[in-house]
Amino acid sequence: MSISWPLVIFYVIALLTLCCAVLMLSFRKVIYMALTIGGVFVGCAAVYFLLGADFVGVAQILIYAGAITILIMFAIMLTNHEAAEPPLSWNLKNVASAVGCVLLAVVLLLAVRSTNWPGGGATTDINGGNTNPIVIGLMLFKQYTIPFELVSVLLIVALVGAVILAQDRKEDE
Amino acid sequence: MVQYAWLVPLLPLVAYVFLLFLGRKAPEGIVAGVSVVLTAISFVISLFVFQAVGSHPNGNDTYVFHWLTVGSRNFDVGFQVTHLNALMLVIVTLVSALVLLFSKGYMHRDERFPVFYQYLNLFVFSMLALVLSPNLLQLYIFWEMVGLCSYLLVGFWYFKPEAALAAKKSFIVTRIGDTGMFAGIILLFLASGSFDYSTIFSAATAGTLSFHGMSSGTVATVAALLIFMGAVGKSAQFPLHIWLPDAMEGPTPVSALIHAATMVAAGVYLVARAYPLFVSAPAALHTVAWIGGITALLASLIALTQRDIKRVIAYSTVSQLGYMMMALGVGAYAYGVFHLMTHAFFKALLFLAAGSVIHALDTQDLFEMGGLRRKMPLTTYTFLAGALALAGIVPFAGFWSKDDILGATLASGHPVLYAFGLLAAFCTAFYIFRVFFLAFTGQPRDEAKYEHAHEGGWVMAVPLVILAAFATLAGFFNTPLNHHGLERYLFADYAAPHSAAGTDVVATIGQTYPENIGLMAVSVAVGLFGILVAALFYWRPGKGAERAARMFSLPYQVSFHKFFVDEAYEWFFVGGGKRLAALVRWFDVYVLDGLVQLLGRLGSVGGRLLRFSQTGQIQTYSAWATVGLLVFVAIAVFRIGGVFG
Amino acid sequence: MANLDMLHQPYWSTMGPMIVVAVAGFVVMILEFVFRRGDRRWLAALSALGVLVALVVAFANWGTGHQGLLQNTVMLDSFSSVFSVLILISAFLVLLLTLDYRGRERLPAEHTYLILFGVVGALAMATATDLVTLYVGLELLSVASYVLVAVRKRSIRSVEGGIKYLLMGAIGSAVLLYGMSFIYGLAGTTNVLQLSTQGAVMLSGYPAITVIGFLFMLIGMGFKLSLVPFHMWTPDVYDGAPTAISSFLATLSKVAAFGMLLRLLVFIFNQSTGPLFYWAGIIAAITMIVGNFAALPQRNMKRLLGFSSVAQAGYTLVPFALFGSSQMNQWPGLFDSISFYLFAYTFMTIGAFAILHIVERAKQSVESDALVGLYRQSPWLAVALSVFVLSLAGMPLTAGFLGKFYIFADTVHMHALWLGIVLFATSVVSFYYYIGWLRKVFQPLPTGAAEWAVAEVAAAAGAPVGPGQGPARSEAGVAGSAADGGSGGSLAVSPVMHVLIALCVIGTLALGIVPAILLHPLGTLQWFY
Repeated sequence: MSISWPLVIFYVIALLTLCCAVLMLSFRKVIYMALTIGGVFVGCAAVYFLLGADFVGVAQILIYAGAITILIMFAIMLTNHEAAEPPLSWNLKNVASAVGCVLLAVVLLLAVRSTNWPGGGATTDINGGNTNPIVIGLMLFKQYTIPFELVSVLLIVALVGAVILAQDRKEDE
Repeated sequence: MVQYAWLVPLLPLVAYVFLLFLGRKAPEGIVAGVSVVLTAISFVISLFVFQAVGSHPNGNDTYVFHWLTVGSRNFDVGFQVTHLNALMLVIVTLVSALVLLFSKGYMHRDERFPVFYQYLNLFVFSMLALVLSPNLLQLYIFWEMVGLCSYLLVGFWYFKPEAALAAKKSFIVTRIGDTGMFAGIILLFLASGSFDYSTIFSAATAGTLSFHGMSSGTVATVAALLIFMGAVGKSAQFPLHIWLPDAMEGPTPVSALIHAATMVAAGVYLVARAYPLFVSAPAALHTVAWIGGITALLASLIALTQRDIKRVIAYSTVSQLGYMMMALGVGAYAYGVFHLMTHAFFKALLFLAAGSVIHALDTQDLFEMGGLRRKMPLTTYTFLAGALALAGIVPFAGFWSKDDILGATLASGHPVLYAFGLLAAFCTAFYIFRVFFLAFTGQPRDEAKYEHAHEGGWVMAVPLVILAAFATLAGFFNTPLNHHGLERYLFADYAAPHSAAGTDVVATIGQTYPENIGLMAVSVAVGLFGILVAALFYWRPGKGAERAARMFSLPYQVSFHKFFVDEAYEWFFVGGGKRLAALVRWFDVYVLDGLVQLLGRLGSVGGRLLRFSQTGQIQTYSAWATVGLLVFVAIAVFRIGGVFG
Repeated sequence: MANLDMLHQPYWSTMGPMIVVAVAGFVVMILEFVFRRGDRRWLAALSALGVLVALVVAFANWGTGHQGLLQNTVMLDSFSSVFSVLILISAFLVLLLTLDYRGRERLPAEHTYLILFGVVGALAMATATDLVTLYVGLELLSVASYVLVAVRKRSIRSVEGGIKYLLMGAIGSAVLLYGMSFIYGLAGTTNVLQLSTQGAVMLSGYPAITVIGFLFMLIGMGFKLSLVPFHMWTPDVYDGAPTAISSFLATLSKVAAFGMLLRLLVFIFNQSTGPLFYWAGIIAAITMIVGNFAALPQRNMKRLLGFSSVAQAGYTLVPFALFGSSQMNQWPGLFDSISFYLFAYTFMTIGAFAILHIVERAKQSVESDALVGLYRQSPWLAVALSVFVLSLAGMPLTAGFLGKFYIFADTVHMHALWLGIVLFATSVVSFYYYIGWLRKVFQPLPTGAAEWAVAEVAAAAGAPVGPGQGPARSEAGVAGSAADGGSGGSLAVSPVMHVLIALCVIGTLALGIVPAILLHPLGTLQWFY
């Protein structure tokens, strides 16, 4: 059996991403958490590249790893709070959550592994000869115009909501 | 005339709406006047309907219109007039009109006087609509509505904690029965495809009820028993009788109308209405008979020892309803309905007379009364008429109906039930005359209260007199003297050529029992003996007065022995019954009540347990959610996906 | 020019209501930036007007067959018509409630256009037939709701509720998306109509993945619908949010989520219902039981309504579960049952919240003891509350009874009697806590507070309470604490609230007495094509 390099790379990336995620949960300092979550974002981007979705991968790096992680860091610096949390205690609740998550992952993994998935080989061209960004653009502005427009409303709501919540107000209850 | 029967329930509804618009500050005269006049018109219409149905060859007239459709099934609403309905209409409107008039005096100056009348009118409407319902679904709706009105009226003086509690208890206990009844109605609907009485009955008698492979007889038995559960709850039959005595916390006119004459009789009416179903389920019919007999006896035993005048009468109601059930159960359909009618009159009378006493004295304790005969002659004599009717003395109304029932019970081959009935008849005569002697004869026990005792004016006197007349004479509707007129009238429902009922039903309902002079004499003798014993204990020697006299002055020493005998008699005769009564009461209070309470507790304990999971911490919430997700997905994948094997 | 086809599609007829509401939202938002001072309640009135116009448009499109847009990503069909109308009606009622809220409490005025944008999302959930559009609609509604819940920033419970809702909502969205991704992975399309032809193939070919996809989507929506055990945020959030927003979450948000759930699961899995929808039945049973029992010890009325809405979601899920055990020709009946129950639920829940809002403002308390003496002070409110509460419990002659009755009848016809029995038994349990409210409503005030009641009536009648009367009022025992609230202890009710409550009462009773007014139009609809 020959070694399939993409598979090996996938496992490496997945392992790194998972490590970052677990680390993020176990760190007690907020700034480290922000850094490790950046690692998770980059790991995801690497998976996208591996799957041939370069546009999504680039967008992932630009938006998540770039913008969002940096924003989180800024927020941490500007709010200037006590940047450490109490250490993790293994009470019933946390144990239950951890066991539940692991078992859920096991169940899903078993289900996924036991399935004979559909789909053609690696050479199937689902883009109709176009490059990724062109296809995405065409989809967005033809078939998916309405969700696209709704997302713009969604962003406005999020923006206004953030302003409302951040604004200082005197005459509340 | 029959096609205008819908006017009968409509007029009280009009009164209700009118009073709603008048508001809470309306003058008492207008409120009571409107209610009484409209209900009286209803009564007159009912009389015409009663007469028209009687002269109609094919009794049943159904008028329905289409209401709604679920899937392919149609539901109709409308009204149906049968001989039984027509009789019920007359009874309900007559008693209602009189009670509405009486309340004018009784509730005088109550600050929620108009509200009281609103509730009463709503009740009268619901009750009449219940009677006229042509199908079980409509009946169920109004069944719940009369329950709601009862809840509101029992709790009318909601500032008394006992009243609020009693209201809740009555509502919950009757709902236990209603749950079964609803299940029974649904079962019948599934088995016959309709809620209409006629469809269900013809299916039951033809044996074509079918539900998941059960035989038609089984379905009929189960459904009849479930429906009987509703009747047990509403008519306060053993073991759900516990709510009725507590319901006496409501104003006395309410007790007279709802908890004696009409609503509690709805259970009996339901069994009578669904009689073809019961006849095709003999086991259910037997259950009805035995439950009725047991209730009649137990309640009369309990009534022996009560101090509260209204509670005595309430237990008496339970006991008499037991008689009616017993009559229906042994196959004496007409006699059960006949007793329902006579009982409605004399029990309403007893309650109203008791109300008149309570109104005058402001107490319900028998041992604070006494000697009222001199202050309130009218109340005394009307009460006496009611008491004689209840005790079953010739020729008062109760005699005819009760004696018919006892005779039919023996004739239909139920000697044990007959013995129950006879024993209960003795207790009945005893307790009601105990009340009579304690309240109306002898010396006043509470001078202060006695001082300002007085009759309640004409609004209270007129209903008493009219009801006393009915309590005396109503028995003659169905005697050998008029060839059992009522029996023949009621039988017309089933004798008509269009009757859907099968031959069994017609045979059962049409069966007549010959008059048996010997049995009549026994009943009367038992009643008289009960009165005699009561007189021995309670008439002249007012016991409390006696005791006080013995302590203070020597001459009364002579009566000491007499008193001792009195005690001995009491110990000997009453004591046994008393202990039995106490036992039954204990069973009531601790076992039955306890069961009800336990159900409530279980609910709230479950609620508390669930509350523990509600910690307020988002981490806990998501932990629960994760575990839930895991469980569902794991089981589903295991069962459907076949991943694990 | 194939590309120009996109300009000539029936946008107006398919998306008319959505466009109207979105435009209204932007107009109100801009007007609000312009007019920053004074009483800005007219903006809420304007929003309500916008919703009314959208309602008219939605009615105009009612029952006009079906029509797809942009390769069927959005559909006009019976399903979207019914749910759009229901969403718009509840939006209108909630806006009426907001109108009162803002006028008295001086809450941030940003409410109204956030509500409008939330409605746009809800309408998208009802009309879209594409997984992507459905999901975006859901997120639009959710984000608007998160902000609305947390809007009373000075109230720690409000902010806490907002954060809880955000976190649980995010988990729900993640689960939902995960489920959708499985289905997309199997079928290779996100269009619901195309997916519907592949449901049976998916289940027979990839049973494990299909059932995971189904369950994840069901449970993901279950977070929004507060199905047990994903319901725990509900009481906290309802309690923390302003009452108008609680009613928004309880009705509009749930109706939209139900519409989306039906669209997703019934449309996709219409050929393979049996083994899948069974799970919805189990969740429905657990939800009914836990929701009703957890409500029993509740004293806080808003939390109780939260648990009650959990239970109601369970009732509504029952017919949904029945898709598994019935024939296709019975399905229109199930759609009718669900729609009828949701209509009934909307009226009675908003009505109950409206009265709660009035009581809360007058007594500064949401404990159920605050209801004591309501009948004395305002028989009209007391009777209206009784109607709503009895309807929620399922008393005959109210909409709630018939709704439950139809569902019960469905369970009987479709051989899932055990669900019907759970429904019946738990609704008997619910009588217990609802009757508890009624008892308090009809109790009189404790004697110490009698004066207060009189003073209140005077205030309500418009008599000015001068400074001289002030001390007298605060002396009157209970009144002191209540009158401190700043907004005063009066039970004065604005005309708008009267209209709102009257509308809800009429809706509840009309549907309860003559259900044909709704069932007939529903019955003529063509649910499938």
